[in-house]
Amino acid sequence: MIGLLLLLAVAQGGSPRSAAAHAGAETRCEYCHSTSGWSPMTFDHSRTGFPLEGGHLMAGCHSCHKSDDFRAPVPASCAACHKDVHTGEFGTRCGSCHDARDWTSRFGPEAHRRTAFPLTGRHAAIPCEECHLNQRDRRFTRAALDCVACHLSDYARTAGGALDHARAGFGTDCKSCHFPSRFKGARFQAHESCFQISRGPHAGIGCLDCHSALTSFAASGTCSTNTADCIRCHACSRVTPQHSNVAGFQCKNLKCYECHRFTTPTGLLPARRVR
Amino acid sequence: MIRRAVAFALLLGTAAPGAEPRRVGTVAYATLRRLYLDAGAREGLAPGQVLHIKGGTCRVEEVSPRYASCVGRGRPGDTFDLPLPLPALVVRRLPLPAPAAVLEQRRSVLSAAAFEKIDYHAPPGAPPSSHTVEVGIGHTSWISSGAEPWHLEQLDAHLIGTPIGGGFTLDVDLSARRWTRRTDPISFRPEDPTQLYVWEAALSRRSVGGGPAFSLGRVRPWWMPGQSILDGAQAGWSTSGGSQAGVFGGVVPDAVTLSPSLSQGTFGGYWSGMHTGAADSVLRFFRHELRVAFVNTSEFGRRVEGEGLIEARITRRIDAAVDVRVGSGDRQAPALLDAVRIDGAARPFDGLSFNGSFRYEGLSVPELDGPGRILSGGAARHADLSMAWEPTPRIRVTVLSGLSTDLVVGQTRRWIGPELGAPRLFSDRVGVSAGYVQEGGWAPGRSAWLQLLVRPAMLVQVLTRLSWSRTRSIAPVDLDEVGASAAVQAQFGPHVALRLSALGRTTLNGDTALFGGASGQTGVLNAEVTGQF
Repeated sequence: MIGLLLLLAVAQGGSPRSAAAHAGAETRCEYCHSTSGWSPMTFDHSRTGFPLEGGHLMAGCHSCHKSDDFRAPVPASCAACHKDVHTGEFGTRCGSCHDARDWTSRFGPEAHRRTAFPLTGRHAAIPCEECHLNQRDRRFTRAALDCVACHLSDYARTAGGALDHARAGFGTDCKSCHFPSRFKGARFQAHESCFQISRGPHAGIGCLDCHSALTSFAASGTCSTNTADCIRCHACSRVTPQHSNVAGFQCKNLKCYECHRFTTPTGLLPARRVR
Repeated sequence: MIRRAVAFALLLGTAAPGAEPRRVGTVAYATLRRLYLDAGAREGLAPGQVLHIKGGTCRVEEVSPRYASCVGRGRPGDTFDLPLPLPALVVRRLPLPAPAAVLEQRRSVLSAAAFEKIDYHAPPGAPPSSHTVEVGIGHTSWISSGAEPWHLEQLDAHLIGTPIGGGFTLDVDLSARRWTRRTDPISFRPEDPTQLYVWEAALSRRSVGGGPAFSLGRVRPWWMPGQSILDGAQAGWSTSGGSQAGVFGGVVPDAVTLSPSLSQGTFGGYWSGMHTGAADSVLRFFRHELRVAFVNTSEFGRRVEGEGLIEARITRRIDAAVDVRVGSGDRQAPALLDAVRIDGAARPFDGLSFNGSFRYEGLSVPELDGPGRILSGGAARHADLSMAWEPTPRIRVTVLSGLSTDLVVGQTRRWIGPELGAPRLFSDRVGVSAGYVQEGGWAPGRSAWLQLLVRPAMLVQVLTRLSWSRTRSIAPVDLDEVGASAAVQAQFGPHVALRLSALGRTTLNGDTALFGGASGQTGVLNAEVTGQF
């Protein structure tokens, strides 16, 4: 095949082309030339309906006008001169992301809001390749709406850590707890409605500081994991005297939780407020 | 206006001609860069002369018999020495003209004479080459609070149609990248801090007038819709009218690293045609392309693909393009329909335009996610429509709208909002726009922006933008963010360009999170220098 190609090339030959510049064209020389000299020549390209801007200003005339007859129509479509590196994924509207003044894509985080996935938090400041990995076709389509589509490895990395997400029964909908700016901070809304930990005396305490185990920590949704170990910190020797006037008081983990949830300013359930 | 005023002022201030030649001239009027002088050619001034004026010099730019303009700095009233007067010319009396009858006879003889018209002919040879060589270096930093910054340095090179002798041209498109700092988690090639991407390195031979056309090497094919790069050849025959048909074949490089891969390949045939009509024709542009290929890739397996593209411009009112790809084989989309892309634009009358597009991607596009993991994603549907109205050339009102659905998870986002702009203020030097978009769907929200574009000189552009957004359902609380960005693009002469850009964003809420604050700041800095020859 290569031999055939070379043969064709040689057969075509390099015979010099004896072209007559502007052959057949009108000779209103003053359109481009001046009496100061035949060159340099100037031409107000905006009169053609295709004003030259940006990179087109730097291009030579013959980059677009393939023949010497400048009256011959030249297509205004981008594809007539530019190869589509995106293999057609974005159709023919190059101007949606590029312009002649600055071919660097202007498709930034704000333009990304006009897709199925708005870039928020740290997503706005990472290289495009971190999500769109196809370099060959420079395609940008992918299903990234599910957090775990990209962050499964982060989910898996919690295994064996202070908060093993899989053992705790956490789902893979990362955004229900985490913010897009960073993984480190999190909000556990389900826990808040059972026992407030985002503020108050229990804010900032690690899970295993209170819970004896993380099994089914989130999946039950019933506020009864049976793993809260209150007495580990609140020793009976100290709290029992404080509850001497509370009828039915028992120094047991589950009993504490029947009154104390810290979802109110007093930390007590409204209906069980101690008088 | 200023020039007229200056001319009038000079006219009023003209001194009466005296018998003694003047030795001193005066600055009659001054602008920031030019001085207007009360002396001209009669006083011996000529373009290019350098005059010494109090506190500096100026170079004579244009000269009339009595006045001149001079490029330089000065003040009205500043004086300068005029050149010494030339010695008086000796006037030689010419002979009397011939009688009118003789002149008339000569004129009639000349007008009746036959002569051959002469047209300009260019020297023999091919038209001037239109090759481009562009080399750029750049540095980019991604910065986020709570994480280490990432730094990338890269070298890009583009050679387009570079003649290498014998009628052959060389096309090269490559990028060498060096990550000087990345920290986990890294999804994209985590083990490769140094990366080289070669998208094109092909020898080609084509002639403007038609005939055989081929490319050999790492080819980014022309006129083949949907065909990715390949290590092989494209060979065809083109007509002088712009049509071309041919075949292609080769191995397909790895999708992520672009390294050659013998386990993937493709071959097939293509057809393309292009017609460009005259400015007053109905069909001003028509392009049609077709590709039929056998494709074997690690993502999709063995498939037979067919893709067709039609693009047309009808008068100057309508643009339309349709691209359809079908495929059958190991992996195939519903109804064998891989993709449909439709673009349309209509300008029913000057000042009003509609732009819309529709995209359907039926075939999932597997992507690597982290080391060795492949996700099947990409099936999506997208549509957008915008309307722009320019009641005057200085004002533009736009309505943006669209929706995008991820067909893998079945979730949609949609948006609509206005944008008000003044794109051409101060002789196209300034453009301002402000917009607001209301968003719905799985991550609803709203966003607003204010943008300022300044072009202090023809080849310098400064773009600044302020934005705010609120997004719901993407975090435990509604997420408010503000951002600012600036980009400077400057062209230094015909060969060197500089681009600087910076983006900064911050989260306004999220500090009430468990285990520390979840708000954060992010930023991207980029600098590039490009040389084009």
